[in-house]
Amino acid sequence: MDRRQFMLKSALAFAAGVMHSSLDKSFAQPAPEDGLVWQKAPCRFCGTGCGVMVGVKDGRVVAVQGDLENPVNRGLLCAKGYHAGVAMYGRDRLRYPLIRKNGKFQRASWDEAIDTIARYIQEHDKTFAIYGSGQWTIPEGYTAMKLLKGGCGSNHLDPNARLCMASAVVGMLTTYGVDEPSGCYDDFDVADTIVLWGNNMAEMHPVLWSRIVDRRLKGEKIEIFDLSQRRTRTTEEADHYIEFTPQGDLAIANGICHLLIEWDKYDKEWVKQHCVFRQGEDKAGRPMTFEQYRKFLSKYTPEYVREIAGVSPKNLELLASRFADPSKKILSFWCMGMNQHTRGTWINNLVYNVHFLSGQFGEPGKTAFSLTGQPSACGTCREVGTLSHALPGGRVVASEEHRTQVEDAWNLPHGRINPTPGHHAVSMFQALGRNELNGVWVQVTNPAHTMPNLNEVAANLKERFLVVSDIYPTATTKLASVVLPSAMWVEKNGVFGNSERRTQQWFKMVDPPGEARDDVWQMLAVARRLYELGYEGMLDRDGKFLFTMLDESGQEIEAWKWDVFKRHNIDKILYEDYRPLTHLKHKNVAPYDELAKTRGLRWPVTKDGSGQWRETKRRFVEGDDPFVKPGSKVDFYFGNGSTGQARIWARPYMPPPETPDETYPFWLCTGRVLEHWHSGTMTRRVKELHSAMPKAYVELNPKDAARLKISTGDSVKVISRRGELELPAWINGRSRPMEGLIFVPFFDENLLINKVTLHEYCELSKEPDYKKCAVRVEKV
Amino acid sequence: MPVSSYVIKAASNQMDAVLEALKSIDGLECGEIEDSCIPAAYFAESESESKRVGDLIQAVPGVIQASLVYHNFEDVTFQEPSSTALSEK
Repeated sequence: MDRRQFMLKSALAFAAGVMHSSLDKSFAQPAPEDGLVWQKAPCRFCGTGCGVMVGVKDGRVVAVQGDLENPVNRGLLCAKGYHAGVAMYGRDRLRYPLIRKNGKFQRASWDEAIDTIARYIQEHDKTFAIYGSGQWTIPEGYTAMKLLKGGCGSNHLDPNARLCMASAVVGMLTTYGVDEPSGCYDDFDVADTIVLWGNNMAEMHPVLWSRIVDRRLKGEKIEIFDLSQRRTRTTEEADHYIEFTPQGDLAIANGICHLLIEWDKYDKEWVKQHCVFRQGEDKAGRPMTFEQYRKFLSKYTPEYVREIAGVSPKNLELLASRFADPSKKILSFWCMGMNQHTRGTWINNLVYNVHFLSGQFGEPGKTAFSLTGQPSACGTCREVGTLSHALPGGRVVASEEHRTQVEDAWNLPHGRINPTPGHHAVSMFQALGRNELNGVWVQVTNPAHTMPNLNEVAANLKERFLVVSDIYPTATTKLASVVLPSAMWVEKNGVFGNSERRTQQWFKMVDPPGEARDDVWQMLAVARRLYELGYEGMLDRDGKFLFTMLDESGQEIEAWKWDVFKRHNIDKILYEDYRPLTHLKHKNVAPYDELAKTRGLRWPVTKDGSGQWRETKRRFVEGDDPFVKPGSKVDFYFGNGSTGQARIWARPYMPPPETPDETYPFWLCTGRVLEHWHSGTMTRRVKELHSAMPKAYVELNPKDAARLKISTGDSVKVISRRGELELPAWINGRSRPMEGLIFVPFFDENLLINKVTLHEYCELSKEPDYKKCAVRVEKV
Repeated sequence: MPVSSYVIKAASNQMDAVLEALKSIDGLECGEIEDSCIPAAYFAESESESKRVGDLIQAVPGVIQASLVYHNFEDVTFQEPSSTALSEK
């Protein structure tokens, strides 16, 4: 057998192995003769957290395969995960620090770049921000938090996760008092009814979708409802496609609850034991009775829902009838469709209402599940708390008790942490425009491409001290004052936390190119330079360096020196520094060494009677979650003032801030495509992904297109009150929007649709609405 | 030259036709059908060819999903970036 045949047979055997659940794992592992060294890592793209086996040869990543031992994906990968290795090797990887001098970038030494940043922060410590990412590893986010909140006494730290899942966070906090979902991926394997709330799961979370499709292929009966404004590949598998007017989801959810109560088909016992009722438009609200709630819902008749949402009474009743049937196991999914919404928190609340009223919660297959878009939006942004109002482990800066706990953990003088929340993502870039903030360090994200109302954001960034840590040139590096080349994925150690509370760890496998270095090191080096410059914030209460780290023999590790940093696992030290802070809200993450041995563990992770570390599948559920009060079956232990109950909210339908009119008669919805990861920084370097989807486009409904005499390929102008963009039209392509709505993907930096979108956001979560604004469409 | 393998899920009542269609794709090696799935592997001359074959698989009538599971790109030549260059403020 020659090498070619050997590799082909190995690849085929691996595919067969993925199919065989009872397979001897060694059968599918690549044979040692191929010369590769294989190690595990979670995929660095979406929030699913698929396991990837990474093959390294001669210091380069040369192969990837789905990790058969990882329960998330069981060996499968999507197109992005399949190209995760290739995405590291684009020819224009940033290799050296660059400093803009006299308007031009010049190659600089690390010493000069670090010194430049440190001196700027020293002068502007209270007006300097860090804008981070759900693609930050947990140690990266934790370092940024400690540097800014613990060192500089400033809370101007926020991540791009604000743009994708803040509404889910505030939805959970206001519903059951603590962030992160109750359910897990195991629920996908037992639910018999799937309700997709504006979620194109087949293309955006294809590996998770395949878990459901697999069951159908094996003959299981699963009914799928697709509530959407576009027919997509998800719709092809759905039994029911229910089209609704943008923002109409608020009315639909209330309409289902109305019917459950009117039909007397709600789960009275479940509601009595586990829920209270709440009204109001804010986060706190005020109590209400069940009768008041019933009265509130009385308006949401099927006829009223049709008027608001355009859903027929028959379809609403069909959907409600499933929730009225206690024999069903119903699983709701959502992602950006619900979260990027000016009432994003409310619609999250309302979907929980539907599940609570019907008792569809807390048993296998019965849950409401918010999918996430980034690999560690949960682990880093939500759990570490890299948000402008937050501190690690579910704490908030506004609480003196929480600040004191963190100051004690970090050995800071009391009073160091600022009690006032900083600027959230949208207001951060507005504050830069007003010069209220005058510098920002952007890491692992691309705000000059992804923020709403981009014309304003780009103009603001041009005027300020902008540091960008990234792996490739982006729309944001174009505006930078200093560019720092970063290590990517398996070029560094890392820890991610995925959508189902699973924390996963990996080790560095290859060196980064040129002089690129870890983001953690970059921040430690700046912190140390500030210390050397005499900046008081870098001293702890004993006068020692804020990031003092000791090795096993008690010797200080000079981690700010690159050669020293490389020799130690600084990730492990930072993670173990963070881990005790997760206990307050029962988010106990697993020890680093346990993560190294496993394919991740779902928190809370506690020791069982035999001393073994044990993960939790379903949170708040007796018999699974160790923190649940015995005998309570379901215990929302931080819910409604720690009474153990969740809140059912009376949140009304409210129209969106902008609706189509005579001048701007179309809805604009933006989103992602299968091939590209967000702004395409990595995936547009992969020729296959780029050639499969080279350019943004505008999708129109065929009837609208015919009326406007627009055909596929025609140039079309999309015009809003904020800007305009010329795009090629695509009719009857990959998906089909409803009449009166157009769809434009946002991955293309040459066709920036966010120059057109509005910047209004959910008042509670501060998450912008990228899914609906009014536009005009003109054939060019 | 990249090597790829797939798990191809197909409608159960079309399995034989799907397998026949897959076998007609030149160079695509297929394994045995099990649970409405077919394993397949391909040794391509280039990443573009690899993608072309992936598209052909996906286009076979009856194929519900073709999941990629293995990718060896040891010999692949990397491409110029699609767009961005560093530029001035």
